Amino acid sequence: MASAAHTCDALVVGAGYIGCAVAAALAAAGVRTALLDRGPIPSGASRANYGNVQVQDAELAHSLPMVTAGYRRFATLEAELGCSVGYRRVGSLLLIETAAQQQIMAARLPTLHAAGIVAELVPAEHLAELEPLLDYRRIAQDAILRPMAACYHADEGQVSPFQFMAAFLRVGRRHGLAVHPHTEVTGFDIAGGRLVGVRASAERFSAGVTILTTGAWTPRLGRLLGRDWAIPHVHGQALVTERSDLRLNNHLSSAAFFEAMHAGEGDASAGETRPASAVLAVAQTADGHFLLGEAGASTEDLGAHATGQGQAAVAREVMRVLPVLARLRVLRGWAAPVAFTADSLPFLGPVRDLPGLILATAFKSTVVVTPLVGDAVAQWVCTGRTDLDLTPFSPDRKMAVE
Amino acid sequence: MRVELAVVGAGPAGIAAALTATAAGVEAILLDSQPRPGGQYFRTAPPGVAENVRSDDFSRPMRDRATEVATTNRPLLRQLTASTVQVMTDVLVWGAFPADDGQGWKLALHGPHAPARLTARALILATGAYDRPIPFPGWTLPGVMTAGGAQAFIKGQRRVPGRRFLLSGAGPLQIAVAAGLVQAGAEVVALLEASRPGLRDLCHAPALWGQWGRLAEAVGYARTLLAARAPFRLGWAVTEARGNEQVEEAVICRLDRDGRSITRRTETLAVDTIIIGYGLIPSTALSRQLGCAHEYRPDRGGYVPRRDAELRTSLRGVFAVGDGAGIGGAELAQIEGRIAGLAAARDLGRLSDGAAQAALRREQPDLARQRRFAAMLGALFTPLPGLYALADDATIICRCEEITLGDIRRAVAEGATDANEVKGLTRAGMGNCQGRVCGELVSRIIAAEAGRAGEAVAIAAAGCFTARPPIHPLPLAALAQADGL
Amino acid sequence: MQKMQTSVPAFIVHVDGRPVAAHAGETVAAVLLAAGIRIFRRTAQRGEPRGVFCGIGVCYECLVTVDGAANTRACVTVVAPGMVIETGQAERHNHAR
Repeated sequence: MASAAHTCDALVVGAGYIGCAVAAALAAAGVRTALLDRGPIPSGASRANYGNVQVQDAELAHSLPMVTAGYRRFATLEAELGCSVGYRRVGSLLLIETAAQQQIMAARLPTLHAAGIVAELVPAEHLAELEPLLDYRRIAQDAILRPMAACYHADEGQVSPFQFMAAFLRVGRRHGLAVHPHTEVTGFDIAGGRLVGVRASAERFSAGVTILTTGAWTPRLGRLLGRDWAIPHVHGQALVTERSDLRLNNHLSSAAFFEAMHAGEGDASAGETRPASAVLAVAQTADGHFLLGEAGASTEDLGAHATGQGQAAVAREVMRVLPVLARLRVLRGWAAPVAFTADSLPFLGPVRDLPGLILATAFKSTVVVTPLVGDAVAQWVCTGRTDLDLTPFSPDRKMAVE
Repeated sequence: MRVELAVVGAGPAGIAAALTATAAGVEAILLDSQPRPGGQYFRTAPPGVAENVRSDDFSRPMRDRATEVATTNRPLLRQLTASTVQVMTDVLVWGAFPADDGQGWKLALHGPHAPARLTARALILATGAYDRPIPFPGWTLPGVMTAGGAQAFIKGQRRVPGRRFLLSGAGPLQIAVAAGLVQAGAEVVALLEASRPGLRDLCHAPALWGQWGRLAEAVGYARTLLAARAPFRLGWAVTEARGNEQVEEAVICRLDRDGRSITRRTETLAVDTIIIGYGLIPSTALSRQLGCAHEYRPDRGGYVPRRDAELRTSLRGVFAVGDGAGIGGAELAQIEGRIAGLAAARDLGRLSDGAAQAALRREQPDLARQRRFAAMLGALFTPLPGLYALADDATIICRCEEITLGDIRRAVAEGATDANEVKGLTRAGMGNCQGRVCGELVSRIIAAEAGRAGEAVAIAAAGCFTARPPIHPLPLAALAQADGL
Repeated sequence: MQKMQTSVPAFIVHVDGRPVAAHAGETVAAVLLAAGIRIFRRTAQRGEPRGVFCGIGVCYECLVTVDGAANTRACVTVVAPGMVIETGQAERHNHAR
């Protein structure tokens, strides 16, 4: 079979949130761009995401400028994109179960406040005002888990994941973006020490610059280049229920994540497989479906298989906190490998020693920074510089060993 | 709970598989989500329900005792009752996963009397099939139902689900339904067969050889219908259902050779119930959720698991039989059930290679005959492409989420190229039925929008919705109680 | 209404607030059709009437509320004495309280 050859100025590999936004921003800037994904488009962990625009859970040392600037973009995003992304303002409640968690969350507040993020600790007796589903005198009488407090931040949001990605794809296509689903990168082309393109089975894409927005698949591609990028993944699972007339006012999640990070537990080392355990993550779509999660299991496998064990773990965790949802019917579950890094910082920026390659992946909270990162990458490609300081996110940084 | 073999689905295929394996000494359990075994083909009414005599608005009791006797006295069901097969009814298998020791499969169960999980070294999937939807304007009105659904009322509840009936479809199932309705005293206003078998279809005549029981049955139906003077038309179909809140009239149309309606030749009939019978789609939610490899075979009803000569799927220890692995009817289902039962018994060490080979060889002539017959039905009665053009932009395709043909076309125009992309953009397939009804319709629309309407390769390229657990909606509390999965 | 001649236990179920006779082994769908009810529910977006379609528990059209459990398939649910069945309203929701 004859090889198909494509030429473009910029090639984006991985059509999740970041990939779609980067491809759209490049195309809109007049760059001849192609977007590839090994699966359908949109794809990856982004398909399995709630669409939460998260702010208060940001990594504190280096991410706040990006997160706060990212959040501000949402005020004008729909107007810029010319269509709805299902954006609405939603608050966030990080539920605190232990004294250790409370200490950790309290310690975060000064840094958050200094960045203009007005999160506050709310004692248990005031939770019901913010979130009626946590009213332990009435609707939540059967709850086993009654948080001792919560960290509350009003200014967060939610988008509809598919509408969000579709909006970027629409903008991109309007500006000539070429979209290639079901096209898996199988090799890279290097000439004169520069990355000049990729191969996907019998097809060849040559490009002046290649941007990898490939999440959990990034290390696999890195190995093709002889790189050992430290981007492990966790197998995340969640459930969606039928519509309910119960109203969830805020995203609910658990401060347990911060406790684990603080204790240096991180996640299993490479090669170890652990069964699913669940950490609370509850949201609700605009039309009333509850999004329930999330179970994480460590596994080398990049397959997105929902397991009964993971689903049961999610259900048990949610029932501890929100037994009022007991009779709600789960319509489906899904799973995806979700990339993360040991320091909670993304891989964002050019790769030293390989001109022509940029990484933009493994974000802690992706949605909030998606439009901003799209613009930043486009700015880098077009001008060689960015307004955003990318130094802490360098793909070449040494990862601290816990 | 642990067994050697779990058979999922107690229709003809599943019962045959369980009986065969148990006779060879396998410790087997037969699971079904209905209250009684039999599946659709051998559906039985609860004891005594035929004696209820009422006159009602929309439903009349069956007057025909003979059919009831015939169905309840099915030899296979009697054999099952007399056997030592463990049968568990009212239980749903909502997911299946590799066992922790890699030696078999864990089934996640939900039911009032069922444990949360069951481990089996081997699985035989006999999950049956359901009616193929053909959308047309007004098809969501109460009063439009499928031939399989009508049969469920007739056989299972001894009730006639309406008063004035129009039947429209392709193939023998609706003939059986029409005969049943007529015998029950219902008014069949018209029976429409969309296909127009012609001289060239005589090449299939040899497939009828040996099908004496079926031919006798068909003659019986024909006599019933002729005696009742039930109007029968070849090459016609219902194209619209009309009514205020429920079916009040139906528009029917003559079809051309491709199944497209010839709009000058339409009639309007006053009916309250429209039964559509366009064949069956295999139920593959469980085999897909498990991860068996599938292929798109329009001659076998759609997506079917790939199987070898002994009906093993691509997963070790998992067999698939009956209509759930490709539409073929009740006789073929039983033969396949026996084959898988024998092969599973050999795998589990309960049958020697020699004994298994001999028994499998004995099944081959019947297998070949039934496969020929199934192929003939597939060739004659696969719905013509024009029937899929009855829907217009305002017609609902995803019934659960109320997504129209126009919505799906817009998503394709936006760039969606496969079923999962359309699902993400439109929500089609995200409702209660988990895409069972609209799934293939969406893939057909994608192919049609690419100018390749009805082409199997294009429909297959559009794929199908990903199947994940739970394969039926379940209350959150039920998932929470699923221990040790 | 003809007199019932049956050796099967008959009992009362409640359909939209009124008592209806039913028999052991009957499905909710059969009882509703016998009671003259074909519109089982209304859709969430458009409020359109829906009833029995596939009849075998696959299509989830025949949803009614049974003993407070919303979105229950009438065609695969067997009646029990005293069962409370509600039909025809706009989409109902499930919660524990």
